[in-house]
Order: sequence, then C-alpha cells, then structure tokens
Amino acid sequence: MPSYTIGIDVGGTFTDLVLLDDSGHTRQFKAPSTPRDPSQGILEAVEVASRQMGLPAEDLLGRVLIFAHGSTVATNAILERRGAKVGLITTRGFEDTILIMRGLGRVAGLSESEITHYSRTDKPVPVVPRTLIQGVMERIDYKGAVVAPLNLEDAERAVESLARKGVESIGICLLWSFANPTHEEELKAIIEKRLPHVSVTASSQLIPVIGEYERTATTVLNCYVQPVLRVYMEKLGELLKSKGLKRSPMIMQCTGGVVPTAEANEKPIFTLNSGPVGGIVASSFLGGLLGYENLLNTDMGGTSFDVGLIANGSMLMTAPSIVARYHVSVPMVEITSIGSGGGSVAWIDVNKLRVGPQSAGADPGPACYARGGEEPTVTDANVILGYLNPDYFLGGRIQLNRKLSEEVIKRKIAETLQMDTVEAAAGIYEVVNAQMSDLLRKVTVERGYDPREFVLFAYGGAAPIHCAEYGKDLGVSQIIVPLLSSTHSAFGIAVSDLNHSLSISEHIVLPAKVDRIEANFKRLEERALEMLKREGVYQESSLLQRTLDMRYGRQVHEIIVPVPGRLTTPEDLEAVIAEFEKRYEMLYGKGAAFKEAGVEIITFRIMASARTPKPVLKRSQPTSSDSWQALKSRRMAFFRPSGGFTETPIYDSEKLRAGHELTGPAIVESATTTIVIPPGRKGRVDEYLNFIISA
Amino acid sequence: MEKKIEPGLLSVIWNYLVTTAREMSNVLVRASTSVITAELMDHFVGIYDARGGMVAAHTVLPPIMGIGRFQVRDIVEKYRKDIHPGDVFIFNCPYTAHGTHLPDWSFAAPIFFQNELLLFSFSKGHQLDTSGAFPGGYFSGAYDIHAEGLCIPPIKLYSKGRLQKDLWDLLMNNVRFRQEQEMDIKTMIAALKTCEERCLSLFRKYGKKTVKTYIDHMYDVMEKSAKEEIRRIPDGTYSGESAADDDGSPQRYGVPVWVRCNVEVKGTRIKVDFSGSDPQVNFINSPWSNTHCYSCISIFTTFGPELALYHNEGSFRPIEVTAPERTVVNPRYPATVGACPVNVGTQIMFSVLQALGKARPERVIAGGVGNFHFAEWGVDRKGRRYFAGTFNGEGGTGAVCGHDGWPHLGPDSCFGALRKGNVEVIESRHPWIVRDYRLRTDSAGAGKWRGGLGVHVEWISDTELEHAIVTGPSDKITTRSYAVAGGEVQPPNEQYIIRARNREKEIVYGKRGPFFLEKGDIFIQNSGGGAGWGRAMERDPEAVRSDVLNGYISLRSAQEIYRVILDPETLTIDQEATQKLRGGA
Repeated sequence: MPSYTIGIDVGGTFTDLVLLDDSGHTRQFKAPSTPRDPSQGILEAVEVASRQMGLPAEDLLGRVLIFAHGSTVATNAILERRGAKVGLITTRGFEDTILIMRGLGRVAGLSESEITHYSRTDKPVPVVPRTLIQGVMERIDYKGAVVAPLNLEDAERAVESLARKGVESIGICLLWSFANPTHEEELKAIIEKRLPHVSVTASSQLIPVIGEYERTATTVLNCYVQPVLRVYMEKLGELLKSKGLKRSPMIMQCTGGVVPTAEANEKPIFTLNSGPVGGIVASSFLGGLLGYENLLNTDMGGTSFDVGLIANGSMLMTAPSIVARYHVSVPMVEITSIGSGGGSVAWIDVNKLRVGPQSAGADPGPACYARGGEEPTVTDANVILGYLNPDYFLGGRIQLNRKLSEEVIKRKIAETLQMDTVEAAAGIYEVVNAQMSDLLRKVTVERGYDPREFVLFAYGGAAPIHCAEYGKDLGVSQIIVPLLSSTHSAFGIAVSDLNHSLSISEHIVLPAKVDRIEANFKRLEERALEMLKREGVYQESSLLQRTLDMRYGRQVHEIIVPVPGRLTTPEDLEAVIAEFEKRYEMLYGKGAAFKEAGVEIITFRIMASARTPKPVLKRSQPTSSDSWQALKSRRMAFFRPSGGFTETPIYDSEKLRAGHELTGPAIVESATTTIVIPPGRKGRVDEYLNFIISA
Repeated sequence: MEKKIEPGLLSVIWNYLVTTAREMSNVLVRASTSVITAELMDHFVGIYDARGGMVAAHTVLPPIMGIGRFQVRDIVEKYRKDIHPGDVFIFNCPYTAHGTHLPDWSFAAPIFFQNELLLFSFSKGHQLDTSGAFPGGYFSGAYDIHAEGLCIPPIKLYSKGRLQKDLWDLLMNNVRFRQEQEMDIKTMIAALKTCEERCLSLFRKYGKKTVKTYIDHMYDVMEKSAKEEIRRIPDGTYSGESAADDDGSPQRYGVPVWVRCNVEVKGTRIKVDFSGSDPQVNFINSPWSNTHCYSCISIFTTFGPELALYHNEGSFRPIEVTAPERTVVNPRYPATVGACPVNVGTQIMFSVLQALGKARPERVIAGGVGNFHFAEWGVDRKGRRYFAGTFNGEGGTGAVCGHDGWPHLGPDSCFGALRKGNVEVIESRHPWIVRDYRLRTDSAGAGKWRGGLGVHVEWISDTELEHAIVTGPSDKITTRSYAVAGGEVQPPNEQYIIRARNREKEIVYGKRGPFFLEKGDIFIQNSGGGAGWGRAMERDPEAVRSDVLNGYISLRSAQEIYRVILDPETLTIDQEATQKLRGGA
C-alpha cells in the first residue's frame, strides 16, 4: 500500500494540490479556490485527486502521512480586516505606539509610485482602535530592572475595561518586557483568570526582541488573526478527519517550515505570507537534487512578480518584515515583489509606456478573458504576440479572445503612441521584462551576490512565458522551469521540514565573554527542543541553526549572520565576527568594513527543524535528444530578432522526454504552462523532466 | 537626423536610471552610522550629466533635489580639463561650492566611458560633525561661517583613484567622531561606485550615443509635463509670506524673520521672486542653492504625483527664481547658515505654497509646524561620547484636499522621509528615560480635512555625566503656519525643561542652547499638528465622531469648532442638533 504526502497551496484563483507517493511519483491537481471558506476548495482539490486517481477519498486520505497546507486565512483576515476584536495593554504613556508607527506606517509596504500619491499614503485603519488600548502603571528600564512595579489595581481596571467592551483577544506589550517579562506574565495571569475564554498573547513570549513598535505590531496582529485561524483549523481538521485523514494537518509558516495545528494556533502570525515561501522551499529541494546552491527564484502570477534568493544552500531571511503595512519582528523568508503579472495593466505616462502595478486581477481579468476587462494587460500582449494559444489557455478552461486584446491595445496604447498594435504589444512585453530584470538585479547585486553564480527558477502561471527574456541579461548560468511549475508552491509545502523560529534580544558589545553569548543560544535551544519533543517529532537529526543580528557600533541597521555551532573559545567568537565582516563587505563593497567602530550583537535567533520524510523523485534516463515526436503544431509568434512574426514550432510538454532538446524560436505548451524559447536559445528536458533554457 | 525614440526603450532606460539613484540611497541608509543619514534619511543622491544637468534623483529628501545642478556645475567650471577617471570631489561651502549648511558634505565623481566624460554620480549627506563651536553644527551663536565649521571648497579627495592622504588627515583631524565619520564617508563613496557601475553597464548595453539621446529626450518629456502642469495654474501674481520665530541671536530674541515671495504665473512659465524678504541675519540664512531647490520642489508638490519619481533637468526649465542679495534667502559671505535647510527652507516652502494655495488650492498642502527636533550630545550608555539628532517630538503635517494631514511626521520639508526611533532603542543608546510619548489631542488645525496631530513627549535625563541639548532649527513656537481654502491654523509648538533641583519650569525656544541637563531634569515637548484644508464646518460628522472616539480631538472641539453635537455618554451624533448648529452659521 503506497503512502502519500500532500501539499496544498491555496491561491487567489486555484487551490493547488501536489501529491507525492513513496515511489517518487508526483501528481498535481487544481480546483477553484473558495475564498469565503477555503476548506471547501481544499476538499474539492482532494476530490479531484481522488477522482483522477480512481481512489475513494477515504482511501486516499487514509494513506496520507503528511498533510501540509499553506493557508491564506490569516493573511486575508488582515487584508480584508476580518480579524478579531483585539484589546491591547501597554505601559502607561505609550498607548499610541501602535498608532504612531514610528512614522513608518504611512509608506511602509507601498511601492515607490504609490508613495507619491497622497491618496495612497493614509495610515492603515488601526487593527486595534484607540478605544481598546489601555495603559497600565509600571516601568522596567533598559537594564531590565523594575523602576515602577506593576500597579495591580490599575491592571485590574484595564482588564475590566477591555472585558466590558467585549474583546475577543488581548495583546500585552510593555516596554522592555523582552529584558524582564515579569509584568507581562502577571498581567497575563490576571487576564486568564478574569477572562478564561479570551486568547492572550504576551509580547515577551511571542517575540522577545528589542523595539516596542515592531513588537507591539507583531503581538496585535497575532491577536487579530488568532481566533480566525483557530476556527478555520478546527473546521478543516474535522472535515478532513471525517473524510478519512488520520493525521492532524500541518500548516506552512513564513519561516520556510511547517508546524502542527496546535502550534500554529499559538503563533498564527507565523503563517502569514507562507504561500510564496512554499515556492522557495520547492526550489531549495530541487536545487539540492540537481546540485545547485545558488538559486534565484521567480514567481510570476496574475498580479505580482515575487523573487526570493537561496544563497549557499540557505534561504535568505529578513526581519523585521512588513505585513499589511505594519512592521513585524517575525523572521521571514525574504520575498521581494513588484506589481508585474499577467494581469498587470499597460498605460501611458507622458509618452512613456508603463506596465503595472495596477492589475486587472482575476476578475474582470485581461480584456481577452471577455469578462468586461477594459484595460490592456500583459496577457493581452502575449496573446497578440502569439505566445499564448487562445484555445488552450489553462488547458482550454478559459477561451481567450484575441480580437478584444487587439482592440484594447490599439485603442489605449498604439493610437496614443502612434505605433501599430503589434509594436505596442511587443513594447508591453519588453517593458514588463525589463522591470522584472531590474528587480532581479536589485535583489542580487544589492545584497552583494553576483547573478552569474546563480541558476534561475521560473514558476507560476506567467513566468515561463517571460523568463527567457528577464533572465537573459543577468548572466545566470541557466533557467529552469520546473516540471510542476504551476504548482511549485504546493510542491514546496509538501516537502517542507517542520520548524520553529525563536529569538531574543540582548545588546552585547564585542568582544564579550563567550559564555554570555552561549547562554542566550542555550536558552533558545532548550525551549525549541522542548517544543519538538512535545510535538513528538524530536529526532537526533533535528537541526538547530543559529543566527545573530549584528552591526558595527552605533549603526542603525543590523545584518543577519549565521553561527556555525557551539561557541567555546574566544577564537570561535572571532570567527563569527570575521563572518559578519565578510557579509558586511559583500553588502556594502570591499573596504567598507570598519572594525575600529566595534561590533555589536543585538538579537539572537535559532531555527529548530525536524526533517520530514522526503520523496525520492523519479528519475528518467535520457534516451534521444530528438524532440520531433512532441511537436504538435506551428503558429506565428513575434520575435524581434527574427524580424517580427515567425513561424514557430509548438511542442506538447506532456510528450517531451528526458534528454529531448530543441532550439528557439519554439513554444512548449501544457495544460498549465507555456514556455517561450526565443530564437537562438536552446531548451532541453532534464532527467526529472524539468525544462532547462540556456542563458 | 533625430533618432526615433522607442517608448519601450525610453521607459527601460529611464527606469534604470531612477532605480540606480534609489540603489545609491539604499547603500547610504543601510550602512550609515549617522542616525541623521539613516533614519532621518537626510541625504540626497543623484545622477547628473557632464554639464551638471540632473538626470535622475532619488527623492528621499526632496527639498534639495537638484542641489547637484549647482554643485556639479561648480566642479565642471573650476576643473574643466582637469577631471579624470577615479577623481572624487568633496565640498560643503555655501559660498564657494553652493553648499547648504556645513554638515551637508557632498561628494561627486565623474563617469567616463570610452574616454568621454558622460555623467557624474553625486551623493550628499548630513555628517555627524563638521567641527565648529559645538558638536553637530546646530549652534546659533557662531560669529561667522568659519566659527560654524569647516568650509570645504570643491576639491579632489581622490585624484585618479588615489586618496589624497594629506587632505584626508586634515579633514579627519577636524571632526569630533572620526571613526564614525570615516565609515560614513566610505559609504558615501561606495554609493558613487554603485552608480558608476550601473551607468557603465547601461552604456555598454545600449551605446553612449543612444543613452545620451534618450537622456535628452527624458529632459524634454519632463519639461513638457511641467509646462502642462503650470498651464493649469490660472495666470496671475500670487503672494505668500512666512516667518521664522527669530534667528537665535540674543539681541534679536523674539523678532520674527520674514520670507516673502511673489509667484508670477504666465502661460507655461512660473517666476518666484523673493524681493521684500528680510535682510540676512544669523544662523538661519538660506544660501542661494538651498533657496532655489526649496522653491522648485514646493512647486513640484502641486504637480501630478505620477511625475514625482521622474523629475530631471527638464522639470526645472520653466521655473525662474530670483532673490535679492544680502537677504535671508540669498546671503553673502560670511553670514552663518547652520539651521538654514529646514528653518528658512521651511519658510520658503510655506510662502511659495501659500501663494500657490491662492491659485490652485485643490493641489496645495496646508502648512505643518516646521521643524521641531533637538540635537544632543554627551556620553552614551556604553560610555562613549556621542552626538545625535532626536526626532520623536516632531509635529504633524497639513491637510490636503481629500485627506487629513499625517500625524507626527516631522518637518514638511522632509515629506515623511523622517522616521522615529523606538523608545527602547533610544533608551538603550542614549541617557534618557522616556516617560510619556503620545499623540496630542486637539493639536491639529481644523478643516474639512484636518491637519495631522503633534505629540507630547517627556524626556528624563538619566545620567550624572555630561548631557546637553540644543534646539537648533526648531521653530513655530511664536510664529504661525498657514491653512488653505478656509482651514484653520494649528496651535503652536511648545517645549520646556523642568529642572530636578528646583522643579522650575524653563521655556525653551528654538535656536537656543546648549542646555546642559542634570540627572532627573525633564524636557517636555508638545508639538503642534498641521493646518487644516477647507472649512471645519464642512467636515463629515462621522469623521468628527471617529476623531473623538480616538482621542484625536476633544468633545469640546467637536462642538465648538466642527459644530457636531455628540452625546457625551454614547458618542452618537445628534443629527438634528448638528444640522441646526451648522445650518445656523
């Protein structure tokens, strides 16, 4: 009896399901998403899989060992403002910290062009209104010493006031609580006694790091989504159980690993933005298989272009990160986005052709969807240029109307710029490619990486149409369109390890006693191992990765530095400092390091991972390089180097075999993916059936 | 024959150059030790052409956007044939290098491709120190410009790639925080390098001729766009005026210093004339380059937001600025200029915008409360000497048609680039305990759209060691801002020290100090908000109610200023009484 691993990524349009079996087969399924209640879409995806595999859902789910999914429930609750009624308790005098937002809130999370618009730079409507924020008398100083003890009467009053207003969850964030959590703990006990049904988050337990604004925002957002996620997870768990699933579902986190339901319920904020992170994990897995350590991951969907880096085998992390325009202290796999997707709208700004960030979205969508879309989009350009087959979009699920594309591009772009429609479409294709190329250069070069040492992964609905172009000038060694490029994130979620990320701040000026540094890591590691044991997944092979947020004396921003293992001697510490300097110079250029200023540690972090069973992907032996048997038709497609429209062979991706090669111009089509290979570029199929484009 | 411009390629090249300028800024922000550069974002970077025309800029600190137009030209004129690959120029002097105030050090490097000087990379940042009587340069009592600090004319810091060691030693021997400043200057130069690399790869890809053609075209496009915006301003001459509280000289305490302007709009041209402004004084004078930049950016703010990222040489072409010599807006050597950029700079902005507010109110932002930060020095928590600017007391900005002002944002001139430090971070670095830090009820000017709120901050000095503050460029304690379209002006800023030894309250005006603090002394800042836009009585009663709920305005203001009657218990709107009250006015 085979056993299965299931990974699910709930997207805006489709819920993707990837199923791995223990013989190394991977299968992908799609069902329409059901935004009102995502569990319905998940069940439907399971049904689709069950039908297509000819296996009753009970049998299918009964054989599942790992059921992991990326949930947008928490993210959407914040974006759509459907979270809980949250109360917040702060140090008296600092009730407005979350409203002041350090002056960052006005522009945080906006694109540069949005920042220039007054209308887009209002602060977000507060997640917790001023009326539900209570200050209490207490104060701890920067050394962690109690300056004023918690005034219990005042604390009772604050809790009572929130109780009267009917809050569903309460966050506590007091100044310096990460250095001394006693007042937060006392408050938590008072609340739990008085309001046993209200969920409580103390900032010192959730994320004990310096910076009261980010800590408060993290705590408040955690409270905001907690009841919503809990209800959803309970319902989904019940539904899946009734359908035969024997295991508790796991949920994807922004840290790049999954956690069991119970843990996610405590720290729901870690489930934010986890979908795109799945894609990075998938690349990491495939990269490991193919022997690549440096991966540039590009996901182009309907509305955005998301980029994440894997360097020397590790996913690049960032903290703080921005969620719904708040800065949160949660370390996340770093994803940089711009509004360049298939639905991005082309427009003219003083004689200059621009694309995005506005998007026609899934509804009404591009003009060619014939659902009333009146704006020229990238997809419309791709139809005109012959890249997309109007009769075979999403395997024919949506019939595209080429005439509508032509009309809208002619009317809104070509006539204004006095050029013909095809030229205008080619312009849109080139501008959006250049924007993506700019972003790729930014995320690599600005971080000190040389793109020539990277391979580029292209996945998501639209990336394979554009990747040969946006990857061209970077000098990456090759471009890989994975076999499951349209369900790459779901695949990544399926192969994610289980992990916990813990951090704590202590400002230490180096050199310092190694013991003092070691003690902080020890504390974090003990807690993490305890969590893994409690979940029953602790193994000898559990991995504890240490990092430090470090900076030069008096600098304002830190960089994350990995610490290879236990620190026992002053030389070990010297090695960490050397690593910091190396990374610093990588970021800011040779000679930028400035040891004389002294090096400081601000925050300690550990990531504790327990490996989940991994599939061994099926490998095919290359046979012949001749791809003629996959050739299914020819059509005209536009390629500027060939002088315009060129008769282009179309290959059926299902019929391509390991070892097959082809030369551009060519287009490879499947029900879910279209790959464009420009003239002169080479394509081949590798032994895992990924499609490789020469750079 | 003119080369045909492809809109796609134009977009690609233009965005590439703008992105490059942004990358330069990121280098500065991430690596700088200076809170002023990194958190206040008090820096300016850009790409200029071989004649000093502005190609692209990153708009972190918009008011001095275009400063390199003066400064790069100075280099070109002074050095002409003596500019070589690997040269890096340094300069700050307002009188020989078109500098602003002395802490703003500029750096520029030529970019050569195929042996031709094509562009300049340019970076300018507020340095931790620039010598002078007290740390940081925000001292109002200097005798002349030489007492304010080092005046550096345009000179080569690097010549053909070689650091001029003697010069470097001379400079670094004259600043107080040598280590940090060395690091910051390395960062400024790293930003120039980044720019050079990016520009070279652009030339390699498209060829220098194409890039030059497209840059010229970018200028033309912006000129056309700017003219189109100016055409929409009704022709006429509009006047504005704004005053600084005083110039900080004891003999002129409390005597306002006026900036006055006439803005003449005629077709697609606009002329700003500062005749009638006060004669030059001390400390707050705005050198000519500063005045010019502030005037232009004030006009740019009324343009369509889609232009904001793309301003270049062409944007400046339809604008003419004039100012009589020996006035606060065009001082002559050796007048002091320490607080100029944000102080009289703000008055320049306010007066120009006030004038434009009469012409095109729907595009003009109401006034904020100017600058309200302080500079401090002493011994930090780790026992090291430090200097810092502290911005957590800043007020709000004015409203604009359709939107309330931004609360606690800081000087208008920074356009919200200003960030605030976490109290925990401040307390861990500098010897303060912050006791209270909140938005200040009723601190904004009322209007159909109201100003953003100011804050109330209480700072307790927490050290036995030296700890001093100066109120440097602070202002708008005794003078007022301006509202637009019938909005109301906000209450002024106020600040005072309560001494631990006798509990006495000492009012602290702007441009004063140093005030040496003892442990337990409390420095209290109450900043004003921004001014309002449109009549308060036209504000949506629901918005008024929401402001009361959030504590942004009091019940009393709701009734007396906005004329909205709320039930004091339930805070529901009494529609009938409100209508009656509003209708009766």
